[in-house]
Amino acid sequence: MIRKSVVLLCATLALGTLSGCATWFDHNSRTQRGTVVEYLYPKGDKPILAPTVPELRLPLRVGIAFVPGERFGDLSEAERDQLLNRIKSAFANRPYISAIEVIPSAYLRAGGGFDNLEQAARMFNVDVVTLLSYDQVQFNDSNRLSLLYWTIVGAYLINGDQYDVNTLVDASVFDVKSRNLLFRAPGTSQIKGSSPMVKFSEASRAARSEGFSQAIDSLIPQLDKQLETFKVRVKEEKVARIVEKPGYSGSHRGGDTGLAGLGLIGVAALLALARQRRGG
Amino acid sequence: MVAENRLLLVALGFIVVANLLPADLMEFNRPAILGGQLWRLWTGQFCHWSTLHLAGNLAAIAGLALVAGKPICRWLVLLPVAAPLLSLFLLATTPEMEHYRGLSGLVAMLVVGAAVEGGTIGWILAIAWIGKLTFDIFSGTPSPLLPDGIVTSWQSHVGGLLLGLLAAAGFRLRDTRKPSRP
Repeated sequence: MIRKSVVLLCATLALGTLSGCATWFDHNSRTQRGTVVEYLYPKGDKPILAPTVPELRLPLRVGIAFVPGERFGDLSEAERDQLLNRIKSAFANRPYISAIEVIPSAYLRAGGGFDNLEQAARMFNVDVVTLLSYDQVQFNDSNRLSLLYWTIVGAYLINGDQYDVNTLVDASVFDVKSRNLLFRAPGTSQIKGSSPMVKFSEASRAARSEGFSQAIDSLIPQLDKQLETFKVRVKEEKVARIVEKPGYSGSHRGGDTGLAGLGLIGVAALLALARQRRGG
Repeated sequence: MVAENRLLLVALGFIVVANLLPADLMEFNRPAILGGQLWRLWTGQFCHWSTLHLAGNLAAIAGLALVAGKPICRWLVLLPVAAPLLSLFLLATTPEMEHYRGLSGLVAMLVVGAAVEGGTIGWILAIAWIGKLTFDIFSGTPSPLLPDGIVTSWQSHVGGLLLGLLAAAGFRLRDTRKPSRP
């Protein structure tokens, strides 16, 4: 009887220890976040609601930066710079934008507010700043295959752990002088995957980086769409006053026949056709 | 005749290539040209800001071809030669212009071609065109065929007309020197 109890106890302990292999790994969710509100209005500051119409002096000098967050461990400064440069190259050829400056994270302080934003804008000589806030959540789970981790070898070969990385990147475009939000656009991504336990950390880190990359890809067309909508609102609703800097109207030109020119040529072509028919 | 057809294909090739490759690399870009990217002297005259912009200029060439008839071909083969000359003209005369795309400077050259080859209708068209150009210079009318923020370059039209006059003089000289057949 005692022997049976000892065997049962040993078996229970062994089972508990081995099944513990599957749960050594941290299954908690992981979050990294940096929000515009926390950056611009720290300590619960209330936005000052002054009814002002922002004045945009074309061509604009635009700054672009990630909002400084408390936790942003996965992306190196070089990777962040690469992502920002992708947005920069998507919008660099607009005639109403004279330059887009990438503002490195080191120039922005967490909770720095508009004072910090104005300092950075002066340093980089930009009129408008696009702030990218981000919210990335990673959920980790074990699947049934994780039972094979008991074999030890399984922890190296079997994809028993899975991750689900949800990323939101939100671009808010601010006129620095008036502190007005001009427009905003979101970009999202969801990446699901699995990996063996020993490679989980590396695989999920790569997925988090890829999540940011995909969210930026989804953000660019949205930002373009919102920019076009904003241009229409400027024309129709006068949400901003447009002032042209000296020499602006001459920097980008097109060789265009114009509707009047096309009309003249069209009439002449019709007359020539009529002449040919009469002659032929 | 075969040589003329080949040269026409060259002109067509310029239009196709300049509008299919990334426009940022093709456009007339003053700093880039001064930095040594000399192909832009050619491609800047053939690439466009939008499909609508391209369609407008191609429609203009088609209309001018109808007015001038077959002799327009000898003008069309001149386009690859005229393009860098027009770009150099713009470099010299319009220092404030940094970016330029469009075929209409060369269309202006073809307007002279239509005047030379198209008889009375061609002449009337050319006179009306010059009147429109004068109006554009003083009024700066925006074109609906161009995207927001892009201004029509009347300087390229003036340059094109001057190149057209030069070409007309050249053709006239060549025609008078041609030995007449007995």
